[in-house]
Amino acid sequence: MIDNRILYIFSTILFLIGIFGAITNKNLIKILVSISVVETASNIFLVSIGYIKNSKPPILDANMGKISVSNLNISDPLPHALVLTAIVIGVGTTAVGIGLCIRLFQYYRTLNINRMGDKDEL
Amino acid sequence: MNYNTTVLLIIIPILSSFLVYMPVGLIKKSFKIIFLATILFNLLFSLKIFSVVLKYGNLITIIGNYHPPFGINLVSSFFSILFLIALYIVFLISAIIFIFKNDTKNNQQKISSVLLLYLASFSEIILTGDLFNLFVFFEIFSISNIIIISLKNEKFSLKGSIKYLLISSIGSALLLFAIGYIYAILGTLNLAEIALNFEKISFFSKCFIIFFLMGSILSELEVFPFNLWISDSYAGAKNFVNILLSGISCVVSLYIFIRMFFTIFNYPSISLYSYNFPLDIKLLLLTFFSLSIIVNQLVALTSKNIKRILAFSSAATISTILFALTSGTKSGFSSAILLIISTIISKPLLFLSSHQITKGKMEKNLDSFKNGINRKRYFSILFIVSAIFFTGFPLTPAFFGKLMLFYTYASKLNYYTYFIIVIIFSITVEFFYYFRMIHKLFIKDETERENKNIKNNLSISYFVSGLTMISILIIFFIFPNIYEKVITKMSEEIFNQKEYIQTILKLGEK
Amino acid sequence: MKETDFNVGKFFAFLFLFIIFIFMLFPLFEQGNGLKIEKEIKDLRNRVSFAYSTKSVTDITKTLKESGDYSKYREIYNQERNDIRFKESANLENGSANIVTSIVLDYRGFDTLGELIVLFISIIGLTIILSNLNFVPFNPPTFLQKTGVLFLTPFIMLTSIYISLHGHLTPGGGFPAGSIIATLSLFLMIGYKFSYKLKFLNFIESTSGFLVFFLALLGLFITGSFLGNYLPTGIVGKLFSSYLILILYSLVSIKVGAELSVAIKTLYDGENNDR
Repeated sequence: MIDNRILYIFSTILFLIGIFGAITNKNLIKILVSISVVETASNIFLVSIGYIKNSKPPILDANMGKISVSNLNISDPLPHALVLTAIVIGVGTTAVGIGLCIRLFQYYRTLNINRMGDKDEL
Repeated sequence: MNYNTTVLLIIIPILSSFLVYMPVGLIKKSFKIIFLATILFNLLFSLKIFSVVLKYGNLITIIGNYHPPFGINLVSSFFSILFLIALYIVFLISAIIFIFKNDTKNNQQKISSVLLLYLASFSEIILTGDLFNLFVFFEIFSISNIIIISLKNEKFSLKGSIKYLLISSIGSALLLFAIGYIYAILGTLNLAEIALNFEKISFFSKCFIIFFLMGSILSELEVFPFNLWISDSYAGAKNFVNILLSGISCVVSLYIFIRMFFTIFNYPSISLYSYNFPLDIKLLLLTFFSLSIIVNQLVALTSKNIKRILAFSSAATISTILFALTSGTKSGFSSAILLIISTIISKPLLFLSSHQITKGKMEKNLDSFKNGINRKRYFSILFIVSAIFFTGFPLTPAFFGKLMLFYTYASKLNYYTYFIIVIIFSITVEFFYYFRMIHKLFIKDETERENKNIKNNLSISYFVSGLTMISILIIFFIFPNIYEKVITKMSEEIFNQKEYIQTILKLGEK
Repeated sequence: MKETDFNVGKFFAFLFLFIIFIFMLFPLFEQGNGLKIEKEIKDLRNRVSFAYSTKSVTDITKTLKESGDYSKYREIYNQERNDIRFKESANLENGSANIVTSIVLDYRGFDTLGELIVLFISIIGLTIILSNLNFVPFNPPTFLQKTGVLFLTPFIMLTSIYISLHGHLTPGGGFPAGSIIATLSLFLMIGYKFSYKLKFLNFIESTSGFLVFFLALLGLFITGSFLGNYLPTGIVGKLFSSYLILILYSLVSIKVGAELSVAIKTLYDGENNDR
């Protein structure tokens, strides 16, 4: 049985796993990966709020035939549109992050954040 | 009233950013003109909208011919348009500095395109009336911040920008979670309708939404646990980027905070109370912000890099403004507005003049300020005047703001009054380190060799922008009456949540 | 020092996150009054998207304008309205059979335009950050790579064109089609050592982006509102219907394809090797 609350709990667990990875990892690439896990968790949550039991996808085709006001049996299309936007935003952020990682690797020859300290700080 | 041409404030910068980015010979020669013309257009057009707002009241802009609860809309009110005009002026100043400096020659076309998108994104954030639209343009805003921080391409700037990226992307995921939660409960994304129905949400869901939205904004607001990024990003960034970060980025996030708390949550009268879980949100926020003030001031006191001192003192001021807003009264709000005015004008000036004074020195330490009054007389005077304005000498906006802050918390004696100690502490520390910096200007530098070959030429763009800002400051000093009326009108608008809802949803008004 | 299995930092991080988890579970099992997340959604009658899926926003706003209260739209959802029939109904608000597409490009089109800018600005940022960087060149393509690319190229091309043109009928649209085009450019770079000039890609990217915003801006002058639909909508379900969405989505696919190709090229062999 898939229930909306179960999906909610699942996405919160995934969200917290992502944050745990971002806090405890030392490698920059691994941190970026955990942040994309966080983004995926919020996308799953967004999709889950549009779920209606026994419903059809919101696309009118020959099988469905018609959409009528009295008997509307489709899932909520708006969260799908929001998720489309959120995915592209995640791609953009990750691209910039990878570029920064390449540059930082050039300066320090490592991706470990503990070894990126300089003595002239503060 | 419908006024659909407001959208040009966002579309014209985007169109010209695409135009500027084109690798065509004709545009390569003339992109500077397009860049400056777009900013001037935005400034003039916002002035025009301001005159319309004064005549007819709040304006609503419909996008796609679908009326608000269904489509996206922009709301231009007295408060938001005035905010925009002030931000455009700061943006124009930093744009002039950017355009007439020649050290970013090969990438200048791309960077000016990024700056135009930055302009479009913050005007959209301030005008929008839709929650998800705010999220999208907030992302554009933070990505452009990341890019302009990393422009110097040194260790510091890269480290600062990747810290900013990590924190802001977690913040955006939090914001997305909160948006999904609001949509699941209320079934709408329109800010006015959320404001209308927010009281009906159950207690724990309300807490959840407020904490998640707060967590997403606080990283931009440089509040204590999330302020780690500023130490590298301000110190490593270019000068015009410092002006943008201190004058625009924090202020835009402050605007979002004000809109969220006062227009959506209806903050002063929000009922966050249940019998089995008493939560005093005011006390929680006050502790949070006062901790942030103390930490930021202490870091500013102990650090030696000039830009880092200024960055942390700016973060402390932002926390003070939040402290004033938390009171939820009209006097607290007006003190916050006064402090915002003083930050918008004097903080960019501090960054600009200190950059000019330390120019030519290898280390940007406190010691590089020595003998500044003889080396760079004009900019030293600018620095002193703006420091006086920023710390709040009598009869300046910051002075009145801090006075109002004391009045807000002391007029009604309860246990919130104890928090004034934090403000007194912060003012003392601030005075101390600003005067240490001014004192360094008058000390003779013994290690400095007599070298007359160094060209002491004044770059015209710095001169002009410094002159404009100092003249604005002096206008505020001579005529304090001009902001009295504005502030009363602003506070009336912010504390009148019903009027905001009525402009959009009409609520039975014929 | 010997490394132990028990890490203090990780333990406290786990504890902290566990407390947050408990806090996030509270709203689900709350007993008090007020609206909360429903266990099971029955239908869309509580939400804005009901009007989107029945394409009746203009009708509803017309009745709302007479009553003068836009917040009570849920009460008139049950009014009798004509059914939308596949390949029969004509001249609707937008002729898109895919309701998600109609939201993405019409009802909430401004978000999608913002999304385009996010992609644009992040690719500019990538090229600024990685400028003046030299990469180690890759090995020359083997026989297998060459043949595989030769075999796959026409199919990938066809798929991307199909997806971008059928955005208003089937799942897909401009963004997936653009990423397929970018995959093709990656294949060509691996297989043929084929390289385009970055300037050429930048030109395509900025021109198509400019055109998207310009077409949207024309709505302001023709219909009186930004992004307004000024082209005929046609019959639902036909290929040539909802012309504005069709044009915008094909422009978007070109823009996204060029943009992601720029990203792939800068990450593949750097800006300095631009020939």
